[in-house]
Amino acid sequence: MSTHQHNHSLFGLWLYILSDCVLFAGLFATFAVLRGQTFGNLSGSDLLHLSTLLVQTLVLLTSSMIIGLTTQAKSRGVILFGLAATFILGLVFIGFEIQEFAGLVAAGAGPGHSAFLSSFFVLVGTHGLHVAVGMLWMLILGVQVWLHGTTHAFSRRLTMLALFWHFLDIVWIAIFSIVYLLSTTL
Amino acid sequence: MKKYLTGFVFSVILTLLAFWVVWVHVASNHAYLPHTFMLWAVVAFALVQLVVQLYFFLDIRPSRDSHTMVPFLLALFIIVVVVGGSLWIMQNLSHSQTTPFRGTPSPQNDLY
Amino acid sequence: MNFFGTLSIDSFVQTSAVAMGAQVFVIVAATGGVLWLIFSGTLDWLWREWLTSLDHKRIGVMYLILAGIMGVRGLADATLLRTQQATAALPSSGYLSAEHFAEIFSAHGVIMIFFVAMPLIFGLINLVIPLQIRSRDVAFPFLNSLSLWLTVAGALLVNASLVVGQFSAAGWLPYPPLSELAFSPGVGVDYYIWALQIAGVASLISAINFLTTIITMRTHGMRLMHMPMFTWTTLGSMLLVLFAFPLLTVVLALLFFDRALGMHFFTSTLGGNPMMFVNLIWAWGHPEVYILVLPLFGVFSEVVPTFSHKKLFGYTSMVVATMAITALSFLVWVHHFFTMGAGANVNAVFGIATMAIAIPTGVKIFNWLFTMFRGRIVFKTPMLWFMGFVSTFVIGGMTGVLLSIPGADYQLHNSVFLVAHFHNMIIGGVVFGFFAGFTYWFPKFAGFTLDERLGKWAFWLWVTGFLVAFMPLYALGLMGMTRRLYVVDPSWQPLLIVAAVGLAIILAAVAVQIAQLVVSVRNRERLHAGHNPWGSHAPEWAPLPPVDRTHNTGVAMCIGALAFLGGFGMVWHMWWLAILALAVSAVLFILPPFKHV
Repeated sequence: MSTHQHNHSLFGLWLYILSDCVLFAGLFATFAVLRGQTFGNLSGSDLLHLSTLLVQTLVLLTSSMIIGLTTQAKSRGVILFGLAATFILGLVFIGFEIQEFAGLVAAGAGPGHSAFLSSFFVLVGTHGLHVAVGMLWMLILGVQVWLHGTTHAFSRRLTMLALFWHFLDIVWIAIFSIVYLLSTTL
Repeated sequence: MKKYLTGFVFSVILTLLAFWVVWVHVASNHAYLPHTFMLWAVVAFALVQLVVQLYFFLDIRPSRDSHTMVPFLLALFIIVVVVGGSLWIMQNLSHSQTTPFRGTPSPQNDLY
Repeated sequence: MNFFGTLSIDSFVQTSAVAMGAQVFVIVAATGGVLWLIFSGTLDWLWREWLTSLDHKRIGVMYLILAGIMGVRGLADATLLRTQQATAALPSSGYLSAEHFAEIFSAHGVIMIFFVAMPLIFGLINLVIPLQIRSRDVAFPFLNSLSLWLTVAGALLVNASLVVGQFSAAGWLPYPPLSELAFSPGVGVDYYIWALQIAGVASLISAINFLTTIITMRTHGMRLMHMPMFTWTTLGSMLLVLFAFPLLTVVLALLFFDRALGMHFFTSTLGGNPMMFVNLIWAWGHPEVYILVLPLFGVFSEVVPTFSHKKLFGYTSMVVATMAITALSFLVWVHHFFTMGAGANVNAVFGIATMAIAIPTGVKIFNWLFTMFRGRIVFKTPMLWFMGFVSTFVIGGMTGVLLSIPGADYQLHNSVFLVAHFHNMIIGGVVFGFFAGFTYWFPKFAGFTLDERLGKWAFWLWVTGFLVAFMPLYALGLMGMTRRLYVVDPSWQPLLIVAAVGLAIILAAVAVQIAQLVVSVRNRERLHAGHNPWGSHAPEWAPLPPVDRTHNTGVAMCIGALAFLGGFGMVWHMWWLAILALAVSAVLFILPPFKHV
């Protein structure tokens, strides 16, 4: 693949990410409008567990740094290690989220119980789904580099994955600030 | 290499600051810090961290090529318009309602 | 656990004769088509040359064919609506039931916007943009093919609702709470959601593709301010798709979560807020209008200079106006729901923003007129379409400014005055614009021009038919007739009959256009055109070096078929089918890079 292809794909992904930002903007707007509509069920401040949230946030942040560093690496071993570390941190992050969701559903506060809970589950869940897709992508790149080593096309794909992953961490800043931390102001 | 580490350190500090403000607020039973202060502090830390990560992780800086920057600025504009606009419009709607929109669950409401 | 979800034998039973007729027609047409393909031996050729093609020109043509087929469906719906309203003056109740009438007007709107107008502009863009910027193809040929087949999958889902189940009866934008499960318990709204969700993803992919193409693949030396106007307006339109369609995706997904998973975004219970749906969907819906019309503004900016034998007047102001429209179109969405109850401040701000959009649009109109001024104008068919556009579109623009005044809108909201207004914009702007572009660029791809005489006939029939069909609706709106009525007041009947006659004239115009195509193909020797029949200076008319054949792939079509199955699974709650289709599509999508690393 030529450098032209490189520019195309990276630019295309950039456009996709910007469009995805607007998708999240729509979900944030919905959350902001509906966040007071708890209808007697749990409200935002009931969902706030500072220590878990902090761990979750730092895990994702660290993974974002690691994938960034991985794009700078040259050797196959380092890249595989970087991908694996990012993948595991992503898994930890998703694990926390699944645990939180399962706990809420078990406590009778599932997404069908109030407009606030619907918007909470869908906003946070959409981010989680993106993280899962990113992890799938990581898995695929891991297999590719395992089989074929670092080709030119591979480093292009790795750069794209890193861009996507950084974007997910940026969306998370908005989620932990607006959805969780600011819930105490309501 | 260096930019990722710098970005990481800054982000960790900003995250901890935001959590610390909220922790003080919650631990003092909402007495120690005024609501509005906390609100703006969290928003400010988030915005700064956003800029930090855009700058150090995504390489978004004013000197970047216009191909990257113009769509980015357009997206920012649209996000502000859609979120801000929706909040303004919906707030205005509830304001005009004679009965408060927030209700309590009652069997009658479940009819619809 | 039910293997077929909510699907049962009863789902195939249609209640009225008209619906049964449509069902039988679709089944016969589909089976007949498939059998003909298999036994006439064209299937192999079709597969090799067209269905698997990644060539932007062929993909463009296939978009136009899709638009044509769906256009026939949309016109059939329009015929049912017009004849029903013309005959259903109380005490008569016409021949359609209220429910069926509602399904038809919903389908008519959805089809005309998503599966006629959108494919028309994507068809033109596919055909012309790579030639205008003189690139070999689009940036991502595979994704281009994928967009086409996902659009086809969406169109098939809409038509599948004629055979199994029913279509949404909640309007072209299904406002809750009507569209919620409690009030629309059938699968109609689900068909709507998944048809649009799939077609919406297709549009988004196309936008990314064409933006990347225009930004990174222009020929050496073509700077932004050297780009032809059609490329500029396409750029604006695709930016709007990129930033507006995610909002459609969100709002449809949330509605589906309400309906299928019992969530409460837009319900009237447990804190849901139906008005948030209206807010969000119009934040997409208004830009959508400009997505449709902007590329056609570009077409006129190509047609008018060519047939006036002058350079386009005010190129820079044209570019600025295009970008101003692009930005402003995101600031006006409340004008679709002034009556929802927001305060005076909100309505005033959005009313004024709406009026402001008329300014850049006016700039464009004047630029075209100044281009004609003291030009050597030749009234070939494309130029006639421009004349038809400019005279009808200005009427639509005026009524639009009128509607943008919140006070006036309170009176006219949801009346047929509004129906007349937006048909005025879309037929006058999008449809006439497309015909101008189609006639103009046809010889570039076919090698011969379209028959002028029949083209002129079609033009005059269309303009007359349009005026006869829609001017009465303005009057009826002022007389107090609201939209979407399946029975009407007897005092409105005379004008409704006039409108139905107008539709008959439009149908005649379409028939003439089909005849024009057939006659032109027959006489192609006589109509043979050189490489530049209109003597244009635009870059797409210069001969191109022959392009090496792009490779073919059937993967995109397979993913399209899977998207149809997956959408069908979602509609009928056959979750296994949806998950399976998604998983197989993902594998098909992921595998190719493994082959050539």
